[in-house]
Amino acid sequence: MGFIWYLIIRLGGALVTIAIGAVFVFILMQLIPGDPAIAALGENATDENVAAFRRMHGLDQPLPVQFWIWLSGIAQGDFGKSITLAQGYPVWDLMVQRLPNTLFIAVYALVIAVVISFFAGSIAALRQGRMSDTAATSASILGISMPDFWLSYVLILVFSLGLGVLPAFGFTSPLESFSGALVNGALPAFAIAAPMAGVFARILRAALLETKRKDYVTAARSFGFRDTFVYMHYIFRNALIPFVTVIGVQVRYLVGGTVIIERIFGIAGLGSMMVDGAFGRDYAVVQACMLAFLVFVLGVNLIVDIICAFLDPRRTH
Amino acid sequence: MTDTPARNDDVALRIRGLNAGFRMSDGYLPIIEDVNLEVRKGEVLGIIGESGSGKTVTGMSILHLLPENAETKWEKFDFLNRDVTGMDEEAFRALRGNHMAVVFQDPTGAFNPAKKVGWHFHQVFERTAVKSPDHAQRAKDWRNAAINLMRDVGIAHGENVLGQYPHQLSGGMLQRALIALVLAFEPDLILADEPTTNLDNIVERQILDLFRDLQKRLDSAFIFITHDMTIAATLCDRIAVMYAGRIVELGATREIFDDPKHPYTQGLLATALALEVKSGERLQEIPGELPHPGDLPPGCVFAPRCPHVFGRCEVERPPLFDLPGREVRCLLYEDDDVSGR
Repeated sequence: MGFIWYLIIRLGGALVTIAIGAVFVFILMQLIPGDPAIAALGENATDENVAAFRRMHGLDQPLPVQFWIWLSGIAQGDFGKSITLAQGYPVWDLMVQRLPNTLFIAVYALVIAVVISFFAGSIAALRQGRMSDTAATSASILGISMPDFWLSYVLILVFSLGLGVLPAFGFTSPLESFSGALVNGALPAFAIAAPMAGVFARILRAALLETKRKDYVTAARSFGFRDTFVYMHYIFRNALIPFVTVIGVQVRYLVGGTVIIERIFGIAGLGSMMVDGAFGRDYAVVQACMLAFLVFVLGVNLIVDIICAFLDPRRTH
Repeated sequence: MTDTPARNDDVALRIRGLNAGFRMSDGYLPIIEDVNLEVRKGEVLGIIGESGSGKTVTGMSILHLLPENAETKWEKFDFLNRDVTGMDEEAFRALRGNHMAVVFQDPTGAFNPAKKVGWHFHQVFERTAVKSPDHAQRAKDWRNAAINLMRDVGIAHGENVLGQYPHQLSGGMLQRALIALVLAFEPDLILADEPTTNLDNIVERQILDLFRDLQKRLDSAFIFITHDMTIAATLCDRIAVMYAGRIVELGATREIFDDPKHPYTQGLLATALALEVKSGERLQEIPGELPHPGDLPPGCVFAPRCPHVFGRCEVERPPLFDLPGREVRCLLYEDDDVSGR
């Protein structure tokens, strides 16, 4: 099986997952108690007003029809209109404004997590059993055990209120100012990154230690290759495969992280939009956000799979 | 040694008083004790014994390839007439590959799974470039050199193999490729650690033929580790029999097979013979089990299983006695010792 085939199969799988996911997203929203009409019009709305609202937004149609309208709309790039959040405003337009912020924070957090774990995991494995290993391993456990919202407040306390070096609230769109987004996004990105970095570092350490014991490492040393060469081309090269795989698995936590963190740091992103939409029973908004997150997670997983296919020839050959 | 003293420059490897063991969570676990070996150029020394007898630890000690928790002690380690006893690891690393190399038991585990077979050849030829200007020249044309070497070891389509990943090749093919890699080094010492154990019978025979062929062509010193007496008999010039981390008997293959001295060797041969003849008689096995290295008997390590055991065996650790053309670690031969100890 060649690489192209591998890619086609993975891509097809991702599309099927998105289609199934769309059905679940839709059903899930209908299961949530509460009426969007009441949410929009208030508790005191008259029955006529409610009925009119429901008719206007197609909420009086049978569910399969509603699903069909929604799905065919998406196929044409129309994610419907917001009912309560920004009344009558196309959801797609809302997403276009907010998606870059969330993507930026998510990728920012991922980069921080990968960089930190790369060094922490490598140092821990290289200096196994020594002080630096203990330090890196303890820091990883700390990172895993700190809830991200709690860490957020600690970071705000230290860096914003204490040292006054980074802002506690508000965000600059990366489209306006990339450096501004880097500075303003530092605390939220780090808050999301810390638990992931902990997990990644532990995985990398374990993978490096396991690979170090492999027969091919002994074989490489029997050839008289230099230690650095053996480390780079044998140990690290092969430990990278589980490391990257775990990154793909952990991406879903990235999404969960942004939802909470965006609220805390006042970032106008997809996560906060979804939370607001859920409180307002704004079906179209929540469904669109969930779908976007689904596509994001599958997209990152696909990229991870492609990287893994390059790293591990046994997957495609 | 009492057999014809070899010319000094003929001896590739001489080891005296090698001890090795592992640091475990519950203390030090000694594995091999007082191992003395000598291998000459062009000679094949067999190390035979059951699994757990310390054969592999002995072999890996010689190449400084034991895991990190291992400890080794040497009285004397001469390699190519050079004392390498206390040599630092970086200097010793330079000896590996170009001067001493290993053919491992599991060829599939010996290759980097992320790299093509060609990559391995390329790196190995690069590594040999320091040996001479000719080697450096050959490293530049490594592809052809690799294909030629593979042809020597019975791989007809080497150019295809270069482009394949290890997992795409069979065990037998990989073992040939690994042997070709080792041959690229033209090492002075080749250690083969049960190189056919993981292969099926037909491939095993082919690989053994290959070794026999190489042994005739090369001037290297060979150490062949095996638990198979038949293989040892056909391949080795001399044999060291190991039991519970000690060499219990050492001598010329023919002489050991014709007249085994140590009770363990006698038992081993009787078992092998019974297997070969497949006679209706009950298989003659040595009763008992190999002792655990952490729980050795106080006297001779073989005493609990020995048919000739007598009082002193259970309290005294016998040294290696020098017999004409033979070394035996057994008190039965104390009076035959010719070293004047």
